[in-house]
Amino acid sequence: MNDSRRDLSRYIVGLLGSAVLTAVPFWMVIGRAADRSTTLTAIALCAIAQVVLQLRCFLHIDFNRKRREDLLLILFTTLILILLIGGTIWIMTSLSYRMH
Amino acid sequence: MTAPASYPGLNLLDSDDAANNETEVMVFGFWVFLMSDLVMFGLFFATYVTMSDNLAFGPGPRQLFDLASVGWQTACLLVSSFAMGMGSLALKYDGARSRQLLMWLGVAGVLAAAFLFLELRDFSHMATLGGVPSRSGFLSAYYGLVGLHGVHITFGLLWLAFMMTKIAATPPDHPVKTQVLRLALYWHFLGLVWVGIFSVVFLTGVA
Repeated sequence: MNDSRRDLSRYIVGLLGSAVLTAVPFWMVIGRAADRSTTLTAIALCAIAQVVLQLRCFLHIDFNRKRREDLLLILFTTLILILLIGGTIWIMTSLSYRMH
Repeated sequence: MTAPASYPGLNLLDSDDAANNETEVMVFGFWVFLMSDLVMFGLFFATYVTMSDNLAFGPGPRQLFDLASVGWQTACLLVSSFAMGMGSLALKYDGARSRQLLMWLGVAGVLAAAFLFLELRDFSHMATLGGVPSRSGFLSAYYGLVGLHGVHITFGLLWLAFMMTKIAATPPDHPVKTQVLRLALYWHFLGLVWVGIFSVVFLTGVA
């Protein structure tokens, strides 16, 4: 398979995979297919899978590079986001719990 | 086997080392911008999650959100992101022929405009149900987060229109090519942020 075919198939895999990973949680919520906690878990898993898939297929992030600064940049940003979002939710939930 | 890619995102087939180095620096710098933008989105997400239960006796997600419309918006944005990818491939493989590139950029632009139209229609529908930003903490955070994404899409459309007129005027030279690559990264990035928004805001809100 030549380069152009390989690049094209990568985008098509990204499109079809994302369509499936979008349709499943929408179907579960609209059709009330499962109880709430199962649905929420499925939404989270499908979202994470779709983000990884789009990073791989549309944004071409992979482990096959000469330099690794870009992956480090993304991982560091992810760390900051986890601290920021996790910390905020932790503090605010605890505060709200103590105030009621 | 292809040569290992030298910068994040789709790599062009330039044999010129100097041009490739320049692209590497430009594209990496743009990634730094995107990641700082992501941190800002992260703050809005954190605010939304902490505020999402503060309805102040106003309308909640179940009354306000129209999942069918959100589904159409998601489809528009996903196919738009794909069209932008096809445009990048036309740029990489079709050389100076810019007709294909222009066509795909046009498809991406029309779909993003359709997304924006549906989003604004939802906003006005929500407003008629009493869901205005000043109604509750939940609604302020909702309009902040979803509105921030909408503003990004709007600026993306302006950038896209600017690039299309530039490409239509002259066949893309190297600086224009790297600019289209950065536009494509921006586009895919907004698609990624939308995955977070429809999962955290719309699906979790209605589930």
